Amino acid sequence: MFASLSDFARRDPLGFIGLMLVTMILFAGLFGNWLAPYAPSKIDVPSRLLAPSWEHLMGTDKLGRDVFSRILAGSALALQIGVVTVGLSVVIGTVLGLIAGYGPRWLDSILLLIFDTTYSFPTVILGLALVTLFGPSTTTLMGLVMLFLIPAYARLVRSSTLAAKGADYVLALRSMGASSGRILGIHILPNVIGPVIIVACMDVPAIIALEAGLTYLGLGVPPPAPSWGRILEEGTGSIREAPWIVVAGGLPIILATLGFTFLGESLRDRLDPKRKGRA
Amino acid sequence: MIGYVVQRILLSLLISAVAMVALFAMVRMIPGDPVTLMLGARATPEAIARLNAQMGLDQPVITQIGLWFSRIFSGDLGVDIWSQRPVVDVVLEALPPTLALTLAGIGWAAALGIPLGCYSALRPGTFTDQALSVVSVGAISIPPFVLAIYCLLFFSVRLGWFPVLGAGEDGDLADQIWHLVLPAFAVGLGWVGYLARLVRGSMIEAMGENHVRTARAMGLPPHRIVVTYALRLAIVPTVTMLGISIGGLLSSAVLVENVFSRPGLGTLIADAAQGRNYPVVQGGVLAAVLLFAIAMPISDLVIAWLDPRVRKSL
Amino acid sequence: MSRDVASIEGLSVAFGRPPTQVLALRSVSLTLRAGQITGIVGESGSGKSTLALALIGLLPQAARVTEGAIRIGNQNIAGLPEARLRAIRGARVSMVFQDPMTALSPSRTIGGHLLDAQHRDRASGRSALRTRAIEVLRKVGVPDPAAQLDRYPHQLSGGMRQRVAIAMALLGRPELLIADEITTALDVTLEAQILHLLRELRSEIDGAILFISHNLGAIAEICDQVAVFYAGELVEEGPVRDIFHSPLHPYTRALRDCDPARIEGAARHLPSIPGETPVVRAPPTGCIFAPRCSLATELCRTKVPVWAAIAEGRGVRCHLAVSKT
Repeated sequence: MFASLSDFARRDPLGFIGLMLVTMILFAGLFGNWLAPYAPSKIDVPSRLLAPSWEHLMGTDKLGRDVFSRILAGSALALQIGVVTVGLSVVIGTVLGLIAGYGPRWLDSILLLIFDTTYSFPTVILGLALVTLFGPSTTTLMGLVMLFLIPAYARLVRSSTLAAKGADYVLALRSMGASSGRILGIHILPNVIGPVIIVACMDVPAIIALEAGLTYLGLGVPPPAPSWGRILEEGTGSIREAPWIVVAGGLPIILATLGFTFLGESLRDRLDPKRKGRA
Repeated sequence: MIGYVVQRILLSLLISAVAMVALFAMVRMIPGDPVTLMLGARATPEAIARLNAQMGLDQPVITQIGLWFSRIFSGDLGVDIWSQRPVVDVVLEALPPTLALTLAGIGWAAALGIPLGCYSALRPGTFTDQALSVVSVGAISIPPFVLAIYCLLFFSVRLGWFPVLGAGEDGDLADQIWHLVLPAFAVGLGWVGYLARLVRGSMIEAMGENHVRTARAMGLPPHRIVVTYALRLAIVPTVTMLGISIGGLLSSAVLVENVFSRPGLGTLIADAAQGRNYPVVQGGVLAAVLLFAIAMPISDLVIAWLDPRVRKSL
Repeated sequence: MSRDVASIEGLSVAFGRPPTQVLALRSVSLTLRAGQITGIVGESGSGKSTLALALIGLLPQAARVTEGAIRIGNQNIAGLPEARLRAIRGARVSMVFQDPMTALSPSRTIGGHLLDAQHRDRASGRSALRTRAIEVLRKVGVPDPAAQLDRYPHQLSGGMRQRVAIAMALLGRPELLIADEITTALDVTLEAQILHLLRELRSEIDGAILFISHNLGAIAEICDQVAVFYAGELVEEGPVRDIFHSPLHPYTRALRDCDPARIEGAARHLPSIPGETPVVRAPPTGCIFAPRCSLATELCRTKVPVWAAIAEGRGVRCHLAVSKT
């Protein structure tokens, strides 16, 4: 690992930028409400559609709410959807993948078919159908995201489990009569968890963008929660009078995506030296 | 080979069938009475009874499923609750603009991304290669609908270079293409970066293959070596990826359509979902699933064409 | 003596940069003559393949020619730009590689490969090129050549693929044909057939054949002239008879004695040369073989032996051999 941050910045500038961006977003998510100069949902009609100034760093929207405060508040929501659901999906997906990879063949075939089908399904469209059913809510959205992620992680864990299952040391353990649970938990899990963590890190931004997208369509997080997608949606309505709203609304999504992607790639390069310098 | 194709087509059919049952179940799973929800609390009993009969909701479940399938196969997807037009017509109308957007988006992305990937792969580690790879990550990192909004703001609203709304006049091809430029740009940009990275990786590998060395030993010109000997096999993982990414592609098309208020499958389903127009949601989702089910075997066939060994081993 | 097709003059090739560089070839001189098969023999890491790649202008990017000349005809191709080297490859020099299973593109038909091998012939039409491809396939012993054109490499056996690769090399009508371990991946019967084919080709093509192998039996069977390589140096060269019957260099002798084909049935164990081929990173200060040589003296360890030409096409790089003659 790197001796110091400045060393890190010099050796792996992109990974460093990623780390900085992610730290910034985590910070905004944890302390955003406390940092925000105004209450994010405070309506102040007289100061509606103000251009950015020192009082309102990113201007105000058509109800006079401070866009900067709303974006800070939105980061908590984005992280809740992004990090929490991805984390839960990693746990469930890993368990299912271990079962598919280590269990009987027939179970593997069935699970694999399910994984493949759900994995490649048009997510937003499936989302639309689900939202129609259950109504837009944060819970529906999180459920939908997990439905999409779990098969992907399960598939990944399954293939590394299959590889580990055939490894000599596992065969040796089995011949010595070690229990399946013990082999899976102590010997296989540590070997298969690395790749999932890397992929999960890169998925966080995709999920944040998905949340923003569905909310933009009015099918994600219901109002008045200050989601980045809602800021964009409301901003599009006043795109002529107040272009700063959509500019400010899109920025955190792009920064979050860049941050998590750079960080994920840096992690991957470090954990998998074979891939160094490759795509 | 034939067995393999049959297997893949069967899988697609199975996926379609599962989707059809799921769509049927969707309406049954709606909390509360779907008909009341659709028509609102003040609907007359006659209207409720008529809609119930129309949707077959007064029959036993098994009969309903049978009915549902026989209706789908006879091309009857029900009636749009708002416009009272057949859902099939509504969906078929929405399909061409969505297909145009999806194909234009992925088309320009492939036309630019694949050559860029090759270009990088031929000079790995150089400044150009590293710059391209950073730009690729940047392109991937901008979600298509955010890019669409930015494009809308800068090129349509501010500069006025491109139209703001819709898909252009019917029958006026130039106008339609004019309306397609920004949405296709937004759908495709991330794919440019993605394809460039994917192709770069597999090209670097392919250029190290022995048969590429044989081609070089024949003194073939570099472009012939790259295209005929390296790219043809290096492109296989990309085609696989495109095949299973049709879902993601449709998803971004849905969002981008909404930003530009383009008619299309996305706008159709999103509006119907917000308005609880169930038959249209069902029809739209079914169309998306079928597109997806068709794309998978097509990409398999393309791969078999690219790599003759696949034809043999499967 | 027949015409010189290609010659290497004092060639040194290094991979990488100091201190991790590898001096893959050091001051090698060798002449390849028309109508002759020159064999190159040596262990892995002896510089055989580097020499072959240098001759066809395919040295990898990491390699540099630090001194010497590579002459094809009378043109020195050392350090030529890629575009000029391309004009040599497949036209004046052709090469057949070791592994026939991976040497052909899996997505291209045999006919496609053979058409590509004639890419410089723009004057002939497609059917003329096809006819010529069939003719050459027949010459290299591929049965039913016309039917093979539409098949893919994976539909052919290893031996057939190697014949196709030879056919491709011949289609450019090269002055020099390099065969780099072309029989190593094949079984004994196929090996014998391919060797027979090369012998026939010697009289047919108007040029030289460079046959690289670590199989002494194969070398003895088809070569006219043999060059023995060790750790990047040419240690001995001579007519095939001399090399096998009166080797001068202790390494050549040891190599010959280790050849399984020569060992008597009664031998209890397989003889071997103790030690292993060194990776040379800095210019050696003594004879490069001295650490493994049972006859090495103080002189061998402290002074680099120079190449001693004994006769036309006969020479050795060894203190002991020179003092004896």
